[in-house]
Amino acid sequence: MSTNFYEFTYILSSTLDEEARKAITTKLDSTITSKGGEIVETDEWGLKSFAYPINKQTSGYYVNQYFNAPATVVPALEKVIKIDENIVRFMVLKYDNKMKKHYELAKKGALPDIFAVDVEEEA
Amino acid sequence: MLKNPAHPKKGQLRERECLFSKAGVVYVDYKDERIIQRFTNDQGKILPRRVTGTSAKYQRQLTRAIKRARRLALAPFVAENLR
Repeated sequence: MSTNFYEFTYILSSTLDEEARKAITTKLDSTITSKGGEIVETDEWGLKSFAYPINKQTSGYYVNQYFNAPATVVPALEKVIKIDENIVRFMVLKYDNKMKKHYELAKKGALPDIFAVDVEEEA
Repeated sequence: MLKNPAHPKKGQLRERECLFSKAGVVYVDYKDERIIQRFTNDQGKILPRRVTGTSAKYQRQLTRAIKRARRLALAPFVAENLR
């Protein structure tokens, strides 16, 4: 079974305390690893305010993860998420080659900046 | 429109360059807030290609990125609070 590279972003309800959050993140992590996945990077953005209210809340705790896993992990993950009502939104993206290259460049800090070109463009 | 030599505005319109092609961007990421704010107006609408000068390929990627960001509440669907 070949593994794919996924990006997984999810939002936890802002009413949870630290331990409840930890419990959910570890539960999701173990769901991934138990099916043969391997987590590459986890980036917790923390509490961010929403652009529009979700479930009457105006902010949420964002977690961004990258992992390698076979394709069977994703439905299992979604099942766990749908049961838990503290996970407000989630998104799993499968990365193709372009996106992977973008990710590599971002790690090195060598992303092409579109705004840098702006200054000299006015001709 | 701009390739048609008989177009009435041919001489006047300035040809805008695509910012993404110029910088050599591979993928437009939905997490990049600066890009998203730059290509939406104050009502939250996605700006058309003829206004921003983006090429078709990057406009498609940009639209996908903005719609993903909207779903994750990183960008609004409608933002009419600036009256």
